[in-house]
Amino acid sequence: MSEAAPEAAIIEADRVTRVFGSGKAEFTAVRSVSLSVRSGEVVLIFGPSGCGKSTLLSLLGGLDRQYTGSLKVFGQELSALSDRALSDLRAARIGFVFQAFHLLPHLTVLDNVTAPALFAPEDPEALSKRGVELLERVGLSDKSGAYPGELSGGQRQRVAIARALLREPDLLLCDEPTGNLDRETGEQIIELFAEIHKELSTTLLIVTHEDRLERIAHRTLAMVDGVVQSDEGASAA
Amino acid sequence: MRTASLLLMVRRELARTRGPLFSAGFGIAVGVGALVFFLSLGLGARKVLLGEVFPINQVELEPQKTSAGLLSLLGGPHEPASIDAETVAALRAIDGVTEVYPKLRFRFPSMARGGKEILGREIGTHEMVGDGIDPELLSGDVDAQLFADPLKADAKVCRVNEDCPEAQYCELPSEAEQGKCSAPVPAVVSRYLVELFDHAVAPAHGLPPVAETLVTRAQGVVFDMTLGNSLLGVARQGKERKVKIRVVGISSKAIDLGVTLPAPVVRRWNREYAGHKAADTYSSLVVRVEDASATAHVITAAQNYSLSPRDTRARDVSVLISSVLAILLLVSGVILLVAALNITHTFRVLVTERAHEIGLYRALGATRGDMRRWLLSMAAVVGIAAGAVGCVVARGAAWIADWRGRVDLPDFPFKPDSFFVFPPWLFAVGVAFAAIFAVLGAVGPAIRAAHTDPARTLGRDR
Repeated sequence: MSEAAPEAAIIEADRVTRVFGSGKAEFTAVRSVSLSVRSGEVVLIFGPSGCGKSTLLSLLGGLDRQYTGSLKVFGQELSALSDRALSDLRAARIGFVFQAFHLLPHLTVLDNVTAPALFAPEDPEALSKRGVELLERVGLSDKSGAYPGELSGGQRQRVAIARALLREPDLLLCDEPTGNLDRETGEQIIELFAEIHKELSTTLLIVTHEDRLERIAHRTLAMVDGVVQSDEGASAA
Repeated sequence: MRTASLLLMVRRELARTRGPLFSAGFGIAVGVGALVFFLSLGLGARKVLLGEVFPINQVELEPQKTSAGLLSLLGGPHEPASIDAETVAALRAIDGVTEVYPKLRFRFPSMARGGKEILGREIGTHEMVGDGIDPELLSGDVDAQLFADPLKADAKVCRVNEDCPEAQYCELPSEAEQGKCSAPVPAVVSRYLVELFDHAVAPAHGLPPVAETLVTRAQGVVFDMTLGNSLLGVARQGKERKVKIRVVGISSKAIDLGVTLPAPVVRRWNREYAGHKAADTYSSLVVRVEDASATAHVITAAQNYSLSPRDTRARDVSVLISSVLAILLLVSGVILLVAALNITHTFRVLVTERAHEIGLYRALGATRGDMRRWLLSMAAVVGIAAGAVGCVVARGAAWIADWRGRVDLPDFPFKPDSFFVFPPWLFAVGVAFAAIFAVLGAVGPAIRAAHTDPARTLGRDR
């Protein structure tokens, strides 16, 4: 995947460190990570369990701000933002896709997809219409009235992706998006990511164990014990 | 977050967490029910006791008791202390006083005979005491036309009753050679006395109640009163003569035991039997105040004129009601406090159970404030609903209590139709208290929800 020309950096991390606990229980999950991600890039973060890749993703998404060093997302130092400014930034420009889907079991599929509209200043009607379109896009238009408990794993992840795309984010952060899926379903999700990137030029940052995601990535980062060991351009899909 | 979104989130969560929130709201409903019930009972008791039995927005002042009273018992000079017109004017000028009504007590002995018109038979001759008041004091209780001095300037001259038209008598002062024809002197009797008779004396002696007779007969009941004579022979004073009295109404402003007549009539009779000073001074003053809170101030100011309250029962009853009410409200407060703690527990559990959801909302763009508002709004809705239920329960319980009271309790003086008073503001207070306690109970969990760490609840590495 080399057709999209990477542009300005939307993520700039400089010696970012995240330490949990203190004293003997102190644990450094992310150790002096420096990286830059440009708009339109698809970046994979590989690494064994517990190496700090999900922590890094939380830091990049502004879910965790207990870091040292400098971390700018869309040009804004995250630790300096107020809670409201950070929430607005997340709502408007960043989408999340989780391994465990994190769908709300008491809401229908459509209500789950349009959940971000609860905190958005945009017209709810317009966002609801977009939610219907996204469900159609991910192939679940016939499931809009169903509840998450009635869906397969792959379908749930498609709903989660549709939810992440509702407000057309510039950056999509995905934490093991295929981790809970069988191989065939995982393939479908990877294909969906490729299509999304192609259609929307959304920057994708994907934490994964899956080598097969490399075919859609521009770069791969390898993390070990909280340190980025390598940062390589991946072969195009 | 928009209000519509907030309400949508609250509605969804209420529908989803009905059971626990119902349990949490139950305590609030019980507390508010008790609060509203006791408050309405207190207001009801206050209305009857302080509005009808012991009015608290007025105070009757009389000269302070001194050793002169004891001297008279030992054979010393017998001159009752009295109040002059200057003192009346001075009291009218006190802040908070709306009006001062002087009273003149009978300064002569008198006896009465009658009762046939009311009770069906004469009940013998009785010593009669009475006083005179300004007719204006009775406005609202008795028609002013009925309660006025009947002796008109152009009345027919007479020497004996036979000189006068039927239903009139000859008002002939002791030393005068001729008098004037007069309609019976209007009188009011105490509501307290009538209530006591109707609900205690009459049932015990098989006599009919008198209140209805007095009220329904606009022209009242007429009886004879003898001035200047007494069952106690030594108390006779001046020349004995008979007058006619007509009872025209019942009033809480009338003397408790006796009759109350228009002040000009009593002044005239006092002058006839006890001299000018007895006619120009007053035995007591009824002082009306703007509100009950001004009473204490007036009593203090009155001490400068050697006047003190004739009756402290209103104050004592007020203190008693307030004390009992305070205890009952304290009980309600404790129930509400426990209910608030229950809300705290329920919402704490809710926040723990919804940690992932809260983390997700934060990831989707919710601020800490949004999460706080969500939880507090939910608590407010629970509180308002529980408060409304509590108010309905309190109203229902009051209705049942009134019904049982009508069925089970014997008739007694001043027995009200309802023991409760439910002004609209009471329901508003009940619902507001419920909402406040529910919200207070949810403050801790709401803060905890606002500080939920989305990275921890959504992440996997740790």
